[in-house]
Amino acid sequence: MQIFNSGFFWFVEGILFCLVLVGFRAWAQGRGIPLPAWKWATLLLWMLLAGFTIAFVGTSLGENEATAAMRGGLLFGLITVIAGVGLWRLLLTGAREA
Amino acid sequence: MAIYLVVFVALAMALAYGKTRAAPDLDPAIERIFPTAGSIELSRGVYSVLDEGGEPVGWAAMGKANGYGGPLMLVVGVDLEGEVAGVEVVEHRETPIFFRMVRSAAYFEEVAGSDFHEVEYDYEAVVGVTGATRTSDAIVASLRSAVAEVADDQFDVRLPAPPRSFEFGLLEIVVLALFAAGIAAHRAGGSVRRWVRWACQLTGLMIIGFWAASPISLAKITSLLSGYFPDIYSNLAFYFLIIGLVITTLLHRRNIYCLYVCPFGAAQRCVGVIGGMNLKLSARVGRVLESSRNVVVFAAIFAAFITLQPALASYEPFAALFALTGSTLQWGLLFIVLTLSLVVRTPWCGFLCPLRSIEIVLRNVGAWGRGVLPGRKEGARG
Amino acid sequence: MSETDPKTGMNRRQFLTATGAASAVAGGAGLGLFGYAAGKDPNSFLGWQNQEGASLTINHGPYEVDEPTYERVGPTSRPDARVEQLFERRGRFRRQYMQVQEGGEWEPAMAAHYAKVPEDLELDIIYMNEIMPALMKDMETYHDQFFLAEAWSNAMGAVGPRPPESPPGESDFPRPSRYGGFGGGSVSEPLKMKSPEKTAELIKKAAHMFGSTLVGITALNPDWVYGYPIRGRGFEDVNQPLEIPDHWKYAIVVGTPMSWDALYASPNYSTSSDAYSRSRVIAARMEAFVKSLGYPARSHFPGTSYDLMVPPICVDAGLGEQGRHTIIITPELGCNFRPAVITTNLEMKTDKPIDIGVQDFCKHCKVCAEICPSNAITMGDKEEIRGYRRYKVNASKCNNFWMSNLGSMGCRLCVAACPYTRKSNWLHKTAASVTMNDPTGLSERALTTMQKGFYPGPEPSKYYIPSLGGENASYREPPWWLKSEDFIDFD
Ligand code: SF4
Ligand code: SF4
Repeated sequence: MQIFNSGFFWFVEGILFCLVLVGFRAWAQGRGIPLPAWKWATLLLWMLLAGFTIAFVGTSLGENEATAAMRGGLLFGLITVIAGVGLWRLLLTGAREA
Repeated sequence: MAIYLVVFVALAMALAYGKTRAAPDLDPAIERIFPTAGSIELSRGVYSVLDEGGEPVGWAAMGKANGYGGPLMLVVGVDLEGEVAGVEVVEHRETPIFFRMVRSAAYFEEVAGSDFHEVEYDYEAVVGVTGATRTSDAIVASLRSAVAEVADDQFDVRLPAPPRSFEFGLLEIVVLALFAAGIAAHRAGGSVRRWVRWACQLTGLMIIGFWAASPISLAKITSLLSGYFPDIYSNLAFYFLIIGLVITTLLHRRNIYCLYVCPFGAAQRCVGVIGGMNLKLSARVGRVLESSRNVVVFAAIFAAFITLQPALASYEPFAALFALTGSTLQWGLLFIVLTLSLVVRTPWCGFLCPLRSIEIVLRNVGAWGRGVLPGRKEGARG
Repeated sequence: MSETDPKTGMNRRQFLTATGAASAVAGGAGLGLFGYAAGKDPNSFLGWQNQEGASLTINHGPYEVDEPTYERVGPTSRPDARVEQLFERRGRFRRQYMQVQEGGEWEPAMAAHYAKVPEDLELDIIYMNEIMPALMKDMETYHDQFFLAEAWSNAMGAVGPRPPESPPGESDFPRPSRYGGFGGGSVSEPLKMKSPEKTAELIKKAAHMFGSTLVGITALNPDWVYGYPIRGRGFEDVNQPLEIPDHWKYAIVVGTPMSWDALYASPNYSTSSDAYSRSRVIAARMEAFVKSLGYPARSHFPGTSYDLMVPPICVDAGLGEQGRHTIIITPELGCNFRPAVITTNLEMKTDKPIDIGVQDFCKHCKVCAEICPSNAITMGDKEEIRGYRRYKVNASKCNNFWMSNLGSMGCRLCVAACPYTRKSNWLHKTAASVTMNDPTGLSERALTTMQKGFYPGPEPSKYYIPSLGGENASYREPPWWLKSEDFIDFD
């Protein structure tokens, strides 16, 4: 388990993060979706929110706080889902017809 | 109407059952206060105590208030001269040590023997302890209500109410303003109505929701119906909300509370805007859901009445959203309802909210009333 | 752009998209696992990492203020420790109660106190007549369950220096070594230090080396010194006011936290004695160190060997602020900090008090007051106490509850439940720094609400022993090493 607290883990996490961004860009280009800076910014914010939610649940479980994991997960998860849907609709703006 | 009759009768019976079941046996306590007691009779909330020979020795009444661990109940005996003969605690959920720590025994000894006019309702002054606790507050409040009951019933004296003033603050102002704006906008119609509705709902969401966390809930309605009235001095906003709900439902076809005031309705609409779909369920599915909701609401109120625990009725996820407290069920519901709101228009209001069932009952009763009363006809609304 | 890879059947773009999606899943899962590891991480129990003071993860600089966050509102006075120090009064009560029942008199200080605060007499009697018998009864029934808790507590408390054996004028002063000087040398004057700044640096490093998690230095405010000595050490007249010696000019505060996971299992499973013992040892080392430099020093350490009140000294020394429960809240350890104090006249640069927003937070939070099983912590406002405004805790009620507990005795629920007492991981550190830096008070409200919604504990009355109407509940499950039934075959 200690590996997940190590520098190496964050190195891998960073690579995965970059891959996500590259993949996202490829996907958007394929659909003709323009990606101005504000879209990147909102996407990053949303990823932060989603990441926080996941890490919150994990941390609470690790701390043996099952109630916090459940309630926090539902609450932050809800916010993440709602924000995600909103973001999704924003992302699609300006798409060319394929 | 027939179905209403059945429902009302069933609920009334549940409530009556709950009340009898919850009524504690006060006789032993009364006998400790009046050792010469032979028979005890209850009428209108006051117990008349007679000795073996049937001669009256005094009266007793019960007082109840909420303490630290739950309700605290005590019996006060008043003799024929109007002197407090004794105080006995019948039921409390305080831990014994709590109870001793507030020096209740010393207080009761002090109170016993004084004329009922002169009972000192100042716990701290009598006992010489500073820093009132919930337990000592409850003791004083229940003592006062019990004494007042005997005084009123037997001596025809209305004891002065505790010196208190209404707590009228931001919440109360907002509730009144929202109802006023809502009624006006509802009459105006058109785009005014649309914009005012958004403004009202967002205000309600912030103030009644996140700031005060006090929307109307089934638990509060059930507790009203079962005769527990929350303290009006500190709960003005709650009474405004209830009165607004009932009156606007009776006068308009839709109630202003749900459309303009309710913070949870507002939350769903906000999420709906984000989701941007606003689907409506087919009428058939809608009907099925609505009638199952009516059944659930009935069952919830029924259970709350039988057990006399209004909190049992509350299945709404309001507290989970606004105060982050609630059962697992409520948390799950919150997640499901708000996620659904992305796709379906206000699903809670449409298919789950107990207020809708109550609104339908009220509306039908109102329509019936308008039909019966001379001079008022349906459609007079304009 | 559009050639399709024969093996995967995807073009480049599709491949990148798929990789991105897979990475998102893997990265997300990684974050969850990171969280789990962070939540489990034993290193998030601050206190014993190293001797470099590295556990001082928070820079106090931005929070320093010129005046401590308690307010001085009237003429001040020193506490009459004979009756206002709870252990001292309870000790006297135990010794005198029998005589009083047989027609004797309370000694004058006690009589005066009981006349002034009659509630204390009643609480003292409850303690003797109700709590002790109830405890004796339940101790037999539940002894096995809390056996290890008690054993750990005894073991943890086994080591410690002895209280001073003579008055400050004597015992505080260093004795020259056999070479005729101090610290093994031959200089018999106090050593000349280069500068107060340097000295402070050295003292703080020493404190960390001796095992102290936090350390702070302040000029000693005489209001914090007891008006009468409490120790009953046999070398002083306890009814003579305590003279503050000239050489009690500075106070060095040291201390460590209690074992975190035992603390969360308060009241019955937790113990103070581990931190007490460490703090005592650190204080004794510090006393010896300062004396070796040729300066007088006296340590005031837990459980009962004090001539002064410690929490306000911690505030003065910039270690934290006093909360509603009147315990010191530090930015590093929350309330989980058990201090000891060394008084000396060694010139040192003093620390400034800090303001991390506790006064605002406690106004609304009240988590400790709500959980306190004995109702000892006020829900109300601050009061004036001996010239200072602070929250009032009814020590007699508090002690009545904690004397009734099994295991190592004591309670500590207010320490465990306070939102500041959380593990030192990304989540709680972030939350803490948000409140510390947010002037609007919005985050305080949000965090308090989350604390109450996400971290509920048993109802206050459940913590009592069964004979007193409770269920022996604990705030959280005990850690594995405190579960007697898993190790010992009691049958
Ligand atoms: S230690 Fe326990 S009894 Fe004492 S104040 Fe804290 S919570 Fe209350
Ligand atoms: S629990 Fe809340 S009120 Fe009590 S000391 Fe901690 S922050 Fe202050």
